[in-house]
Amino acid sequence: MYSPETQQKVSDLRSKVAAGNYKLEDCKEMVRILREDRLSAEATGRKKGGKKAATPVDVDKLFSDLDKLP
Amino acid sequence: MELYFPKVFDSSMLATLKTCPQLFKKIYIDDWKSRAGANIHLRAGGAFAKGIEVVRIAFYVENLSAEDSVAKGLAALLLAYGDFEVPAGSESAKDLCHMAGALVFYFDMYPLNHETAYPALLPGGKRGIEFSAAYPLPIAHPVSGEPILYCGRLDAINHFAGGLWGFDEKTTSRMGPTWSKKWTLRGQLTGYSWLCEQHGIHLDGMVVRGVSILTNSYETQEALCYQAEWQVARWYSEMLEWITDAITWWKRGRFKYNLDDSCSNYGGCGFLTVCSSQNEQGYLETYFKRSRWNPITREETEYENQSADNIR
Repeated sequence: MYSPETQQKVSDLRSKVAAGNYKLEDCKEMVRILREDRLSAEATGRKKGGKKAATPVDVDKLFSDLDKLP
Repeated sequence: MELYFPKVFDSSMLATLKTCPQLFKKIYIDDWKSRAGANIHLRAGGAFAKGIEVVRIAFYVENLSAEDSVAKGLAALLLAYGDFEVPAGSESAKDLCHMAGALVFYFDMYPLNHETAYPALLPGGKRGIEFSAAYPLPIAHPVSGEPILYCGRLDAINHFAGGLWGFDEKTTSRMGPTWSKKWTLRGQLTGYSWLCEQHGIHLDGMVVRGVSILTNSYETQEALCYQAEWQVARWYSEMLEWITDAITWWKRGRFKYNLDDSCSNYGGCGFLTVCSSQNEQGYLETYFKRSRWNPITREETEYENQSADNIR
């Protein structure tokens, strides 16, 4: 899911955080990279007919199921 | 020699007591813990929880944007995970990068908002984020005579589905279609409901959010666990019996061994080799160290003198 470059970037950011030598922008960029890598892996998985990507919870269906409970 | 019996119980201690009284004694009375180092699941799970906590505080208390909040939480996760490395040969995907990605995945799946599943404002004016509580039980400590306490910490108390629900996040490897059923009668969750009730917070139930962390994907499920009054009452009365029994066993100096499934479940109990030997002490001193778990601060403190009978 994550390229060796991404893994190294995370490790580097960890070191910067531990040293107190980081900016919020560094973390925001890391969030963006992690999301991109994940979505790319999900897309690749779908093309190969692999497992469906995780979907957000359907809150309306959840409420509807709750209403049906005794 | 100081006589020691725990003054505070949490759900993990109770679960261990029910699984194997001897295991409870070894871990929580004699304070034996494995020398093998940090457990990947505990380290990764703890870092994930810390990340989520910081995100929630950033968004709901500090009023940062969702983007800034998740970024701040990521920093907290990285710091909490620390320089831990997944042991070579481990099949676990809970390395630093995957855990960082799991936090991003979580808030992509459950976006920060003020419409649903958002932290409630509790009595006292604090947001229901990492709600910790303890409450005295009607059981006298066998040494001090003070009431024994039960404590717990919920990840969040949220407005949800028109009510107030406790939230607990769990990280795991695989979930499967029956994952949600394992929480149905889980004492940890019932204990949360009871604790909240003692502090004037009535929960409609507990929501367990599971995040499965695999090498090439994540998955999430939610389990809704209703806690009826009679279920909470049953849990409470049985908890009192379990702790009272533990005191009886402690006074007799005899805690029974499970000698059944729990010795071999989940890859085998960590004390399997110890309990298989007539010379338990030798194995304990070689492969284990003494440290005491504090369920309120959730910290382990190593004995200064490993050969001492009790922590100083």
